[in-house]
Amino acid sequence: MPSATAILPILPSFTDEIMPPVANLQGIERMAVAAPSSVEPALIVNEIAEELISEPATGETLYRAQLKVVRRMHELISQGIIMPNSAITSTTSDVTWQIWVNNSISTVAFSPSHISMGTGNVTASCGTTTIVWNDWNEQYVINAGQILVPPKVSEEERARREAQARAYQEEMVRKDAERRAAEIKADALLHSCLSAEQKEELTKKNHFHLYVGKNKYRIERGISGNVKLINENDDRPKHQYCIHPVDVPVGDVMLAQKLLLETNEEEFLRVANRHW
Amino acid sequence: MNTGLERKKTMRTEVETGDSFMAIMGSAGDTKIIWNKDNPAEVENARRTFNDLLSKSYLAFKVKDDSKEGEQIREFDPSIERMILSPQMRGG
Repeated sequence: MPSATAILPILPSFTDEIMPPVANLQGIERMAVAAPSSVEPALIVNEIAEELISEPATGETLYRAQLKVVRRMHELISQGIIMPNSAITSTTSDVTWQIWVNNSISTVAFSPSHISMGTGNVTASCGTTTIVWNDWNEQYVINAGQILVPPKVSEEERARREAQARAYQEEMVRKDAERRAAEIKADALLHSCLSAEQKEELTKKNHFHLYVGKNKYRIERGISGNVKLINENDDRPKHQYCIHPVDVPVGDVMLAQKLLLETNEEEFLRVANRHW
Repeated sequence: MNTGLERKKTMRTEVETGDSFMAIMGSAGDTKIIWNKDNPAEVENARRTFNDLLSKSYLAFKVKDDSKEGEQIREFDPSIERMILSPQMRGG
């Protein structure tokens, strides 16, 4: 158990405002120190207190400590050791801590509400510990339950949510089937406009070539940046173009690109963005 | 994408010999509007659809079955056997 004097410098002064995350964490740490070693949750927070002492009290340190507390609390809840929305109250047993706190009470409560805080000045000296610490612990509520523990819901609400989840799943399945059907339809239309050689290329290589005058283009399966001007000398892409209609399946995009290139190359090059 | 084709759900969906059609690209794949050039009602319906979509910046292409180069068109011609209409192209 760390000594109280080592903890005090990193504890903040609190007001009645909602605390920012780091301040929340500091509150957790303070509670951790207050928790007795005879209660399991206290063990966790004691570890964290030690960690906080051994490391500079940066936002990252505090955040990691907060995560540790929250995860461990979650484990305890899932193991049935502590109950959500209930308070753990016990007296401290550590001698050093007794001197410092002197009959203080530690409270770790799970509440769906925001953290409410005490008004004690935590930078107070050891001489004022009893009053300050008691005041602090009596009023401080940790918000871990909101993070980890789903609020209790009625059977009716649970059924409603399950029905909603099922409907969502069904909707996703339906949309996926529609999307696949659209792709098949678009591919059929594309194939109906390709030569035998282009069809073979598309099937084997996922792209096809076409000539517009002397220019050789490659249209790759895709929606954007999938049209390339090919250098005849080395058969490598010379320029990449991005141009497409919106909200149509891939096959339709490729067909639209082919048709515009073949029938109005000038317009194609005017509208397309050339990436390189 | 709303192509304004909902009202034409009662139209024919099978292309028969001598028919013409336009394939209109959309999010669910293409929708076909079929007409027979000897059927004034079907021609009129196709023309109206064509003009509606071009006014929404669609691009229209006359294509051939043999995959030879098509042609971009801006006016409806009922004698064209096969057209493909694409939503406006944008640079990405």
